[in-house]
Amino acid sequence: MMIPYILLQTMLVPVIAALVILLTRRKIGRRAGWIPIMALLYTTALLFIAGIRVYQGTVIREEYVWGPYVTFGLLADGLSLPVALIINIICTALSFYSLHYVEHRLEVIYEDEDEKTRLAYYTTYFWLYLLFPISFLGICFATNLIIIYLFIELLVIPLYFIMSYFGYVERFRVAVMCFLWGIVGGTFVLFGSVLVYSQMGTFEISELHALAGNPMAFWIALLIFLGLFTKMAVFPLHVWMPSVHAEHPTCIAGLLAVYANIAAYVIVRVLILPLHNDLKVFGIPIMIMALITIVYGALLTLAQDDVKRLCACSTIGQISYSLIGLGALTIWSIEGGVYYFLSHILGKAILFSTAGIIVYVTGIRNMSKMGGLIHKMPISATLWIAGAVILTGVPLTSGFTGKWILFTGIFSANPTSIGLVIASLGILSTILTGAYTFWAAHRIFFGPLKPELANNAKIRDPPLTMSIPLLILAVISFIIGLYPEPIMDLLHSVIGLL
Amino acid sequence: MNEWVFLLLFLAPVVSSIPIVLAYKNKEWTEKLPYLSVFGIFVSVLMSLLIFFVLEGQYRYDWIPDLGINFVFMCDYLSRYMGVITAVIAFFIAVYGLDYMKGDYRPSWYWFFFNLFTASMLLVVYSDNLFLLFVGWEGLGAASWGLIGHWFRDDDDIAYVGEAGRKVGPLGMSWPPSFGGWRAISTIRFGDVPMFLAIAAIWALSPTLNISEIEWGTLFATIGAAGTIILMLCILMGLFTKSAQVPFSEWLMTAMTGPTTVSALLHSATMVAAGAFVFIKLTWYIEPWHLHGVPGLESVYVLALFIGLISGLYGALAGSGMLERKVLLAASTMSSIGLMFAAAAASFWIHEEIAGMNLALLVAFWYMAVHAFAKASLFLVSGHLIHATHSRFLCGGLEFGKRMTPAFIVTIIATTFLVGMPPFTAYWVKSGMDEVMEHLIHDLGIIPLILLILTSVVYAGIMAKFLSLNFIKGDKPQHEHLEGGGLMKVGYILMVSVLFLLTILIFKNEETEGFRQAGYASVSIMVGLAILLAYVVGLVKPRISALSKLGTFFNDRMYLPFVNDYILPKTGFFVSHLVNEYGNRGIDGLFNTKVIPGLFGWISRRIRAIQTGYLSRYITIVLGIVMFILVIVAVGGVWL
Repeated sequence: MMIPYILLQTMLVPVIAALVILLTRRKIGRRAGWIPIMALLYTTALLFIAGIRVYQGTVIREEYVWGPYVTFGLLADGLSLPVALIINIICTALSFYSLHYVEHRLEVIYEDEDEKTRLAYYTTYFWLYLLFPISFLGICFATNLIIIYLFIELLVIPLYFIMSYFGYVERFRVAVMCFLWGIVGGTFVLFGSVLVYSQMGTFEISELHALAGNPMAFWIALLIFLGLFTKMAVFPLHVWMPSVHAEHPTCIAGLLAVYANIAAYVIVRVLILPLHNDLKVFGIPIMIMALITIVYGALLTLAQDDVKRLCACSTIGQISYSLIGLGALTIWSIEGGVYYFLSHILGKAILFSTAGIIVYVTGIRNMSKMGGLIHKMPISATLWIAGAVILTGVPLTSGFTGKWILFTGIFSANPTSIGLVIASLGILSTILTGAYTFWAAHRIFFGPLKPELANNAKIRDPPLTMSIPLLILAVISFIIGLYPEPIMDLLHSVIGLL
Repeated sequence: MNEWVFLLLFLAPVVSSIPIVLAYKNKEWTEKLPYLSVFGIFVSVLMSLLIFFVLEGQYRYDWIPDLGINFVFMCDYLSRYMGVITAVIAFFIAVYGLDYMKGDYRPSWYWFFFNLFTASMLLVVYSDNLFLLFVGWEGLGAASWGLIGHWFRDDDDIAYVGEAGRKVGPLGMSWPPSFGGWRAISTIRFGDVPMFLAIAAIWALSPTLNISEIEWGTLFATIGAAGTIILMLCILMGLFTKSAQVPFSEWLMTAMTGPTTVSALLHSATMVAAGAFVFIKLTWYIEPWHLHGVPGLESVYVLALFIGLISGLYGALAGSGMLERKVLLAASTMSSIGLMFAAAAASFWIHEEIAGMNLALLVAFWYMAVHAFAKASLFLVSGHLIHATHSRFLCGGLEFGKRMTPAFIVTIIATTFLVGMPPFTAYWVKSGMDEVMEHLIHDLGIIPLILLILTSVVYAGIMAKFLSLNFIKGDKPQHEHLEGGGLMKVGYILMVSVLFLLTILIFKNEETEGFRQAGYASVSIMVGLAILLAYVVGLVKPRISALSKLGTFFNDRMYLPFVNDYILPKTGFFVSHLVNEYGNRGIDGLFNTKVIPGLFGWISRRIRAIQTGYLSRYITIVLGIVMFILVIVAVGGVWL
């Protein structure tokens, strides 16, 4: 099916939806929440259609001239399309989830405000929310370094405002922190991009391969890596992550995981594909950093009592699994890294959003005050367990398939013995993932139900608009875990050319 | 057509349990739908029998060929027998469960995981592809977590393990069901991850993941002694943790917090048996007796042999001090599984083949078969006793035994047929085991044989103790609830009757000829008599008060819980808190709260301090700058 401007539509429709909310906020009131849902359902359908074409071997390119130096090019190939599709599905699922969650946050934070003010906040959330899918898809489809930079920076804006308006206790301080870290990371990417321009006279990613062998390629890669590692919360640049994740409203939890993880895609797109050989010098150091981050993140997670902070800290380590695959620089390990990134954002969206449900329902964040909740919240418990098995990498989930592709990719290329040792330690560290996810499940959902929870009639599973989208994400994870071939074929059609 | 056989074999149990999951809120349906779940397992029984009689060799269906992942099933001697054993035992237990789990507060959870457990084990049994096997393997882990922690509310002492309120030092010696589930999954994951590493490494080093097609000798030669040892240790970590071998045995003891049906399945044909079965299966195809030239391999098999024997003795000794019905049986299972590992490991030094099969592996496998039916029977009896007496501790005198005649008789049969007493079933298999260990004297000395005999004798004693304290010399139960339990009786009577069939097979099959010959050897007869004597002593004197302190030490599993519940978690949480409190706070201080923000704050304050608004201040600054420039110029001029 030929749909004109299909890629542009995937970004333009959310822009229009955001404008509609902004301009008609007073008239549409609470119905504003349904506009992003409609827009994102439509864009998901578009991406599916585009996906079929790409799977059949077509590469979709669209170009729009944007000033004398920059062409706004969009590219959907085997790499960008599956990433964009999964991200868009998560955005859609969380837009459903947000309907009730935002209302709940407004009741908590702005209970003293009048209805009009609350409505203003409510609608503000949804038009800001739409900036996420716009930016994510922009990063995925962009063919130009400077456009990628702009979309990376654009992400900081909704994060800052949503955090400030709807976050938890320390929201103002953390919003500033998040903003600063975002800008710092983006600035390094900008420096790298400008350096590219100074060498090539263009920002086009398709031209970057000409930098191969150029001594400046090292510095360009270093700058972009630094910027993206900040986003990915690689040790020791991870310090923003626990606070930001813990204090933001949980309805954008999954999106924050995407925000951090999408850097893995950017690394593949702008560095690994065009400059594969020049990056070999970075391979082992990246793997070592990733391993340190995995272990450090897992240990940090084990120490948490706050359910949101637990999810936050686990993100630090989980992202670095992708990084370890990218660092190994073999075709399978890179594909595994990207695949694991997709799996992680699915699993984390489920786990984190379930943590949000728990907080939403019980009003408690401290796990030591929970226990036995499965009795009252069986669906939420199922969701948590689904998230846990995806992250832990239990077979038939996408997490397991991702780890399998990633680690066999590292082993099969027979890299240096250091690489093998790092990969082996990386695998062994997944023990810690199982420990913290299931230990948390034990603390939250099993054991005797605390009397104060038992007597609270409000504690029950959340509305279906919150739980069903997460169940769908879990099903997607199981489907691509059981049958990873379509996504792998797509990824291989691009990464396999290395 | 064959693909349908496999599809039905694996999917029937899982699919048939989905309706009860969907109807989890409807009490009426959740009371009826267990029959559908049991029917699903029955379909698996039929399929396993079909495979046993009709199919042979390898069956392959593509899944993700690029990654070496395919549906590859092996219908060889081991899997054909083990498949039937697994399916039949699961079916008998499921029938028993219809009665036992009646009125339970979450039947959907139970039946889903029970059926998943069965399907996962069947996958482990028939898989030739290591990846596929690992899928089943992890399915076992997930299902065991769900089932052991089934009674998650922790609201009934009868589901606990240990004595409420009892402490040894800082450690509480009582474990609730929810903790039992967590302990199981955490221990098992500890072994599964290295196993995953080993499988990934095999895929990288070998062109196939199919166990029967991997060139094991070439693989070991490629990776050298250190590589062989590391690879095999990673695999063994998975097997030892799953099979609860020392020092990973604690989860099995606290797994007794699950429903007894789960314990029965866990101990007989799935989970703990899975570890030993996979070891036998791998060894079957590795053929280590032909690989004596491979450096490192002997060390691996020595380790497996002694871990098995030590676990065997440890389990038997621990059981001798135990007074909880199911925990005693759990300890005895650990012991039996240890002997299976030891016998299979002994194959490295055994060249004797019967009908083309290695004697040591046959011994290990047949002991697994006998143990499966006998132990499942004992567990099912145990569950009935817990129902009848409302106590998880050994109790019941002769009068009680008379009122529970079927259970009493089944216990007599199961224990006598299991311990290795002449001339009952296990005697012939254990005679084979004696002969195998005798063979090892030349290579490893007499210690393996001594450990085996010691284990067998103590084991006989604890089985007799179980019989005696439940039906003959135990205290009178405080409650007696004897009505009902019809399907429970059917379950354990059917289960124990298979032991007779196994005896017939031992005397009929060609490959078990070695057992029969060994049974007439003088060493075996003497060991058999020692076992008989130990059994009689255990029956007559199930408690020895003079040894009560030693018994308490054994009952406390020789303080091994300290490793699981104290040393490891305390160390882990200490390190994680160290990272959180000091490491992370330090880095946070550098970037977010102290150093860099402080630096910017200081610079900002200094700049703001300039802005006083007084002209004199600005003149001072300008003059200062002019003076500074003049000094620089002067110094520069002199220097130049």
